[in-house]
Amino acid sequence: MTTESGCFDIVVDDDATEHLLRKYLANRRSQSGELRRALSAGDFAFIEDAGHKLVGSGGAYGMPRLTDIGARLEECAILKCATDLSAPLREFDAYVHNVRIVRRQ
Amino acid sequence: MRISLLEDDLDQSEIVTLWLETAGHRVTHFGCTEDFLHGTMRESFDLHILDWMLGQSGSGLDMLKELRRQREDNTPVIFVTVKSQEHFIVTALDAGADDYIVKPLRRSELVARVNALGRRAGLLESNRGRLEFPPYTFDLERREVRVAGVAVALTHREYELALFLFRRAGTLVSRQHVLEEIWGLDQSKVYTRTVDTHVSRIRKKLNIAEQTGWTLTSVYQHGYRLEAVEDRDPDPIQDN
Repeated sequence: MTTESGCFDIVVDDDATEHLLRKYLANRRSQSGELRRALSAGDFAFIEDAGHKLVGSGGAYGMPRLTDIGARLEECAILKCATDLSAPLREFDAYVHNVRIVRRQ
Repeated sequence: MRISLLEDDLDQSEIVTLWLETAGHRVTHFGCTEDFLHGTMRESFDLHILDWMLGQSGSGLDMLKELRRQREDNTPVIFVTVKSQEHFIVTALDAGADDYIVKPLRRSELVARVNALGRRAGLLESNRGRLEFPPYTFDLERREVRVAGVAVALTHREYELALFLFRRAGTLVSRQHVLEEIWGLDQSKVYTRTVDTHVSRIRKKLNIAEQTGWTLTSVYQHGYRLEAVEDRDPDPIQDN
């Protein structure tokens, strides 16, 4: 759900799910820098692996946008196309820094 | 059910474990093929969930082939992968997978498919109807076992253990699996000897022997295997 402030809210019902989602989101936020460093170093294998895992995990964590971004990261990394990686990386950054985990009221 | 999960992505394995354990199953996670091979040699499971692509460690498809061809292990397998093309699905099913789910996984669908496979394999608990393993009949509502029509008095634990073993007939089940299933997760005070004693009792009380068409053997350092005798003797069973 997109809020008026432009954030994306992921609504959770229980403590265990909330804990896992917060951990997942924290990992993705730290992954943002890792992906940029990998791009600078030309480490396409790292980006391919990260993209592949995002395809599998994004939707499972209620963030289908990450599944879409992951597919594009993986595809561009396989093709070793650094310029095409810029857009999905920007989207990744924007998404993970604007998503919020909220409890159902 | 006791489920093994082969998945190299820790994020993925954590959410899947949460979903399945919330649904009443117990999950053991393996992060690479080597751990999976060792773990499934030591322990028994009711269901395997295999990811296809496992990075440097290999592939879930190889593990499936190992289970089916090398070990002749028919434990139900669900494949989970991002590969959605038809030929991948056909390859996995032809190699012996029982089901195939394309990632990203969805909670309700995964739990429903796991439960469906469990029901199909006769492993999920049900308290209705009867289960027939001639000459043994389990009356699930009355929690009673009959041998050739004659009721046998079993304690609660003995009944649960007998039902557990017959539902997994032909499969080598580990002591740990038995402990978890019959004695529950808090088993710190249960000794392996206790399991052996209970197995001996049900073997005796139910007269599980070649004459009745079944054998219940203890496998050193692993567990037990209940299996039907292929060339069974048609002689009537002996009295206890």
